Amino acid sequence: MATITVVGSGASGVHFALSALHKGHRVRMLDVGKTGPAAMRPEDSFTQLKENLANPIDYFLGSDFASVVYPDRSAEFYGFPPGKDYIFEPVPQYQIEAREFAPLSSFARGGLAEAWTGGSYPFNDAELSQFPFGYEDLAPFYEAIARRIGITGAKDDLADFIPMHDELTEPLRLDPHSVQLMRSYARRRDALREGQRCHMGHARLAVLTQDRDDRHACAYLGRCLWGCPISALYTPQVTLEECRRHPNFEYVPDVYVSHFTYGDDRRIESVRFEHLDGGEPETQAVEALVLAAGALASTRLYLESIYHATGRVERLTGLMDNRQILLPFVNLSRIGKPSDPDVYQYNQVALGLEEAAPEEYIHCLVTTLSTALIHPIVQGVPFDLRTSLRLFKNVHAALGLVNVNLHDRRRDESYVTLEPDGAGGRPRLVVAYSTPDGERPRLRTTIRRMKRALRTLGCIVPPGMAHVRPMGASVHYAGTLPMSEREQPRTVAPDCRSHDFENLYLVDGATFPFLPAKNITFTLMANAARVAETAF
Amino acid sequence: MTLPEREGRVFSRYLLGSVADGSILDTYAAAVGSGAAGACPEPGAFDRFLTWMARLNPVATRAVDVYTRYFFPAAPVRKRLILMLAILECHARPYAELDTVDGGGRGLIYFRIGRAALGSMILLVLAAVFLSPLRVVMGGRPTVRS
Repeated sequence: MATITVVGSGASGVHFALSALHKGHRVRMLDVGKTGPAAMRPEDSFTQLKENLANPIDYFLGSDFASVVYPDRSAEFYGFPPGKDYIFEPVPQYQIEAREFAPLSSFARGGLAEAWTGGSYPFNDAELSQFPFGYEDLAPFYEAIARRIGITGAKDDLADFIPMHDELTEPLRLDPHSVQLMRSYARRRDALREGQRCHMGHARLAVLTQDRDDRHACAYLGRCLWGCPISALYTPQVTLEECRRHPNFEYVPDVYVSHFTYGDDRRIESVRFEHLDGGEPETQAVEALVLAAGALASTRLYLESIYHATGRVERLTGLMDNRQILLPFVNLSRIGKPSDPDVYQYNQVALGLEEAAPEEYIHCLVTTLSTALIHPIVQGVPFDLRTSLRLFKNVHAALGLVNVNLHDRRRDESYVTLEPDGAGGRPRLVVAYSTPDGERPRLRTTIRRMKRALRTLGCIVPPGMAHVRPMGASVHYAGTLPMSEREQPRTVAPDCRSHDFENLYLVDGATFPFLPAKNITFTLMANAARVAETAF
Repeated sequence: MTLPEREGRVFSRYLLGSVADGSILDTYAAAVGSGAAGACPEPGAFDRFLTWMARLNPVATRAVDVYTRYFFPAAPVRKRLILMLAILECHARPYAELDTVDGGGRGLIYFRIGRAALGSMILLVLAAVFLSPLRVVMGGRPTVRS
């Protein structure tokens, strides 16, 4: 059995590792692995924390008030929670320059999915049409992941676009606003489905609705944004801990892998890494190397390895990300009702907009804003704060937010490359994104369609409140080393083995040849499990 | 009483309708003192005037607030108001006050909101008439803009 070296502990890395361990392989995982604080008062709800914490400011805003959202910052509707700062804490070795792109990188134990919202939507055949396999090939791995982590779902109108696989658990209890939206949809179903090609259903979520092992069923504490204190909302650290209990698993944290070395036969011989606390860099021999550091970080490692070996700076084209639009709305029939803070905080309902080309399906997540901090929202209301607060408290239960996701395709104009430091130091990663032709009309049309659908549901979008997020904001990066059945440079085979290096595998988003509008994490996990099963 | 303490009292009265607890006022004063999240720089004379005026009483605060909402959303004084709001909503009692639906039916709620909105717009006009010439006299616009 092989000893496999995995770089990165995110969603792809841990599910590859666990699948490989189940097959009897030995796995060594190299990781920066920054960790966060322990959960505070895990039994308390969002409102109880405000009552019971000695210093609620530290929890909600941070001791330096860094989570306060001011008008001159981005127009987001959430302040980033201080307890999750560690997820995006940089390391000095990783220097990045972005053009028309706002990249987020994580060096946390568990990776970027430590801050995800749990959306678990399998790709269908149309969305996989550019992949070298179809839904039937991936379905067993979707099911395996669902069995591992717990995913809620129900057969509803979205099943036409989001395949139903086995192992789904019962949906979460909907909050009153989501219940009302579903009722509105049921009443106007024909008009929405046939007239507007708009469909609604339950969100598919990596959240437990029954206790499992060390994790508890969702207790509707309203604390998801700050980190689920009872691990009902799955994060990759859960699987990492499962790996660590396995005798064939070795976890090496606090190291930054700079590059790999290879011989003339294009076979990787070793990885070179630095300890975060200093000291001499180390070299470790590898038998098989699996990059799972996230699309950008894995691409950096790949490029830097070639640069070290040859002095050549390569450019990997095809970078993709989902464009996102945030549309806040007011549900008129909920005005004047009290808001319920004891809810699952993220999206419970999803909407889908059909497009002429089925792979261009638009995926929308509806969040009802029951327990978000209010100051980022109130400051956007077009009155003084006192008046805005009066308005807010009477419409709080009626507020919602639709997060619209759009697909992306590989294009040569969007790329990742290195920029060598003239003084002979470490090269910098350059990420450049070029907006495709026709983006403005696409955004306009999508916003118009979504507003119309919301109106049909009895909701209005306040004028001027639609927010098109910058590219990079969705953190669904993909496409720089895509899967290809043809053996060509800078691609990977269908089993994700590199066509350039025979013992190198990539299992993160870098290998996706197309990016559907859906959240990619579930497919990343399923694909990583598929690679472990089929390539090793 | 220090200026940030006085400011905290006026701002909390403006936002809540009553003066916040001492611990909340202390937190606010400490946050302002530490330059929390860039809320404090007041490089321009007009910025300083707006902050001075907002400290006078809740009516003046509201006038400054609505004026900056439209003309200078990132003015230091508005950032301070948002900082105070963020601090208030982290505590149970003020949060309950900020998030409890007004009594009465929906018609009454619409009426109250309409009245408050109308008041806000009238105040905006008055504030603009009073403050815009001052802005010119005091050397132009505030230096911090959105």
